[in-house]
Amino acid sequence: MTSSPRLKPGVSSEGNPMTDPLLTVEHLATGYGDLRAVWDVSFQVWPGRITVLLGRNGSGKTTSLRAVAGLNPVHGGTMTYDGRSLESVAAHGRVALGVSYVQEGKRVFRTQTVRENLLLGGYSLKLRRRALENELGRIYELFPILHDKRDDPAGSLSGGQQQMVAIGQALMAKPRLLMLDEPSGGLAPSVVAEVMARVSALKESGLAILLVEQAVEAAVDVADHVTVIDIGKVVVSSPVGEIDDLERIKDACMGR
Amino acid sequence: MTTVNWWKTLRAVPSWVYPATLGVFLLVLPALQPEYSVTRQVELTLILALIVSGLNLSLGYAGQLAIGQVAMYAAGAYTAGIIAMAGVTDILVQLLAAGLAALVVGIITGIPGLRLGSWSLAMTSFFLVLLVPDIVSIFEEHTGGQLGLSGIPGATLLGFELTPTHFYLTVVTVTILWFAAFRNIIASRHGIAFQVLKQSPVLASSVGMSVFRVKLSGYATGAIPAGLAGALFANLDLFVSLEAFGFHVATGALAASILGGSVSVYGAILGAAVVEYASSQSDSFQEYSLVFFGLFLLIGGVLMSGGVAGVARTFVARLDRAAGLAGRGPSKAGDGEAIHRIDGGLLEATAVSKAFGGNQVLTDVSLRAEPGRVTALIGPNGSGKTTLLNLVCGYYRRDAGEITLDGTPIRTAATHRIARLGVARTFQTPLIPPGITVRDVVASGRYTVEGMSFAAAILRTPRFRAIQRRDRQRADEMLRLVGLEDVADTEAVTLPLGMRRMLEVARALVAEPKVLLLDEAASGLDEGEVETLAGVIRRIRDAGCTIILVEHNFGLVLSLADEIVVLARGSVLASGTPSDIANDPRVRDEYLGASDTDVQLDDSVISAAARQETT
Amino acid sequence: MTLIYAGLSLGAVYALVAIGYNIVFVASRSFNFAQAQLMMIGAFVAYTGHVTLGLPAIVVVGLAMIVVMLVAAILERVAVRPVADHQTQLITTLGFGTVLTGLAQLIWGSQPLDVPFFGAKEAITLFGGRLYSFELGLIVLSVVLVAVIHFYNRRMMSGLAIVAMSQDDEAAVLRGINVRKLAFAAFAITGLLAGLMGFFIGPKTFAVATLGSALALKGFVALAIGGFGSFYGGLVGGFVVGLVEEHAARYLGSEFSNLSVFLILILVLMLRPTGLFGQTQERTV
Repeated sequence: MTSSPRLKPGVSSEGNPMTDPLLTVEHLATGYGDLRAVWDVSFQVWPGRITVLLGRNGSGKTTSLRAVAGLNPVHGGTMTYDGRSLESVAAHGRVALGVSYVQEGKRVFRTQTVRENLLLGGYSLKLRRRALENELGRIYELFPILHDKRDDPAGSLSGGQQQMVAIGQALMAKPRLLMLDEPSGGLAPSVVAEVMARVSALKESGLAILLVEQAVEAAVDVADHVTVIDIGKVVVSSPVGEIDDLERIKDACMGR
Repeated sequence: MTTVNWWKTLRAVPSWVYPATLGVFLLVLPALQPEYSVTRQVELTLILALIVSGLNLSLGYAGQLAIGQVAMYAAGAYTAGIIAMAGVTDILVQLLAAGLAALVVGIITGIPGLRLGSWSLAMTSFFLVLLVPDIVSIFEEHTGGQLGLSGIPGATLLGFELTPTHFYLTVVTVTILWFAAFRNIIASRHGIAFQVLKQSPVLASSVGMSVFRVKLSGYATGAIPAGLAGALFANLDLFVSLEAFGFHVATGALAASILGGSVSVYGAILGAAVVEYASSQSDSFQEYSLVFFGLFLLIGGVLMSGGVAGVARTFVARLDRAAGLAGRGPSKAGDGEAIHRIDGGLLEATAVSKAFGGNQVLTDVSLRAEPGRVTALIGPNGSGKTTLLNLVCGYYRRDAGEITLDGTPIRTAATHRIARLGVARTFQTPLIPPGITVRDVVASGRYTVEGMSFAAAILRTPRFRAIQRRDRQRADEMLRLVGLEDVADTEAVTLPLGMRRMLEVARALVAEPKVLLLDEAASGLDEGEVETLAGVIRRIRDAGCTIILVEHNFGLVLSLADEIVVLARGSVLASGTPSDIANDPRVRDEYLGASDTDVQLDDSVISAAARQETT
Repeated sequence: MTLIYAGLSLGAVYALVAIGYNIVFVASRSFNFAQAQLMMIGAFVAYTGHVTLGLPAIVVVGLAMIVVMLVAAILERVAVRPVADHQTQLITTLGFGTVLTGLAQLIWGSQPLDVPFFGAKEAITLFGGRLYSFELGLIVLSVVLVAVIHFYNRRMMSGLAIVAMSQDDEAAVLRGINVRKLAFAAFAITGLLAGLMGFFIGPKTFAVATLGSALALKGFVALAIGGFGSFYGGLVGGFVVGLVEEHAARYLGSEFSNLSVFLILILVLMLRPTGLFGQTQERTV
């Protein structure tokens, strides 16, 4: 580890002492099978706020998210969600608890239509299809283009639209915690701005958002709290108000 | 400690001694004047063992579930029987003809079955067993149809009639010779090739193996012993009937293979002995035999997949460790092994485009990588770096554009041919086949260097020995280069990630490629390992190789690259020397988002970049 | 016309096997080598219920479905779930199928048993051809089943989930879908259907322990022609195989029927490896 500039080491919850964090991850160690990619990562996510997880490729951001979602095994540390430990809950069960994870790379069900994709997003609500259809309106309101494309196979949509389908799927489950993994990845700058604006709007409803991004500037713009990881460890964690120099965050992301 | 010493003595004996002892024992068995039922039992066991060894070759080693061995067995038996009826009673001619007939059946059915992968081959080969009775009845006048082919004249050898004892010795000899050949194939680079292919067809084609041909050679070669077994069977009772070639026998052979261990040479004999012995025991077993065969398959499959031979191997390894015979632990970093001069090639990509579905991944990308230089490809996630590498290697078809190596156009979708042109690569997630040593993994990279036939491997010709020596030599050189010489005899999959990456570099380099593609070779490595890797890459470059490096570690790229190409959203955003790129504001913006503050890079990085330029 | 009916009804049997393969394939990407043996057990149970116990047809159908569903559930637990890779599942499901064949031989003997269809075996005349009522039943069953499955996969949430799973099981988990449970359910349903199918095929093929391997192979050919994962494809493929088999037997001789089907298989694999309705997928690294 290099002597990285630390604005505020450790986990901080000073940003808004009024609300308790919905998700608290402490000293998480995780990886793939026996390969460990994350050694010691801690962060928190609060209702109605956005926590941004930054770091270059391979620093362990996605791996941490996957561990929260239940896709990767936890080797050490704790994950507390809404006062309970997540570890005993299977991945699909976490969705029912309100944990929604939008993976990077726009992983929609390509051969199925947009509408079917969105319906599947509400699978964890255990409703009949008829009842779920009524929920679609919420998503179409947020992303009107999806209404126009509702009968097209999701795979035929543009990258930005697929990203909307993926986010729409996650929102169908009425989540309390929304984890977004590089929603701007591979999108044109104008689309990135749009996606970020939508993400920012989502927190108004009290949703807790955990955002992983490479686009530091765009992410910090919408963030309430910033955590930077490098080589599987936290190097910076700070409320966004206490960040005076963006360059230092960028340096930290570049591993310097 | 006496057991340990005893074990040490035992292990000091070369491993071929044990099967050789068994062979000699079987050869001298007639001298003990055993009952006829005993020799007959041995003969039947060996015949089944031949069939099972063919299964091991195709299922265990080539990784193809092909259960049509019995059809090839039938082909061999009927061929031998029919030509014997026609007056050709010489056992050598019969064996030759039967082996060839089985080989032909194997090739004809293997070609379509292998095209679609595992299920298709399993089914087409299984279908063959269903066809045997039909084909036999179509040629009823030659085969005897449902009644069977009876009255086959006794076998002769070079004009002499064979007594039952002679015939017994023939069976034993044929079996010994086949198993020796089988062992030699497995011990050669062909055996390693099977393991590589089983782990990953992608990996296999990246070292220049034609996936289809390697699979077919395994499957078709596996037909030969079944054909030999058929010829022996026809001469055993001088009667051939359909009953010997049903599904019952097919499942029995498969059960024997799984029981003895499909990935083994001598496990076949063991499995065959158990199945044959059990079948001969009583009529009640006959009744229950299908249930037992099924259970063997089920349990053997679930416990997968070493069989008895696998259990024995684990046990041997454990005793080895206890006796201190196992290799030493890994050592750190390589010293200054000189690299032979490598003639690098000029790789040019011109206006390459690629879309997946409606997703445009690469648009009009051009790249020029020169010999003796490191060309780095950087860009954010999803910018198309790996896609470009995969286009160069031929894993994807490009939609537009041209890729040339030294001016020769690289055609698409022929990965192994591109590898043979001199393009080697490593993978983001190292692909290391299980069950083979570090040295063999590296040696597998030389598959295309100096062609070696199956025949040469079986006969262990001088040329074969010379090639094998060189394989070993070159592999050891590469291992010294990357600092893995101390773990050369370790099983490769046990290595930690850092060493696996080094191992991949060694494997890619051993074929002396013109172009070396490194896909995120440094990701997941600690700082010390990154430094070692950087040193190795520099030396490969200085030896003259063309290197294309896809890497996220910006610092590493700046210090290592001679030329950097930045991709963003599938297009080339910028290209130039490290200092050009380090000072290009667009690059960092693309990586980290738009910024209105001036981009300032660490002085150390810029000076590192400047140093690079002057060298 | 009679020949065509014979071909179609035989083809329906193969189509039913292919449906069983497809359900498991779509839900878990694995290939259930024991599918045909499940149907064989269904046919035997139908025989026992009908002939030995003299139960009414509707009870027999229910009995066959439940028994085979239980067998399929055991199959999933012992031969599929504990095995990680699909290649090895071929061996373990083949093993399970072999055990079933062996047990059937022990319990019901090796003589073919005639399973009556709703009590009667009478021929009907339709469009100038003659066929038995059970043959008509088979054709109708296969078509109806495919239509029902298609409707289910488009309209029901669990159907949508199974299709989603087949595309990206990790993404399916992240939508709250219990992938393991659904894969298990798919196996149980194939068992249920195999029981039903056994009841229908018994009158056509007889209940005999050696039924499994021939059915397994022809069903696979139907699948290969239609394309993996395509239910309509499996139906068409089944009819093609049945028609080819009957025509070859009629005009070339019975020993040529299997051979003709084999040739069709080889041709399809060589010319159109993804089948008529299959989708091509680009290799990924």
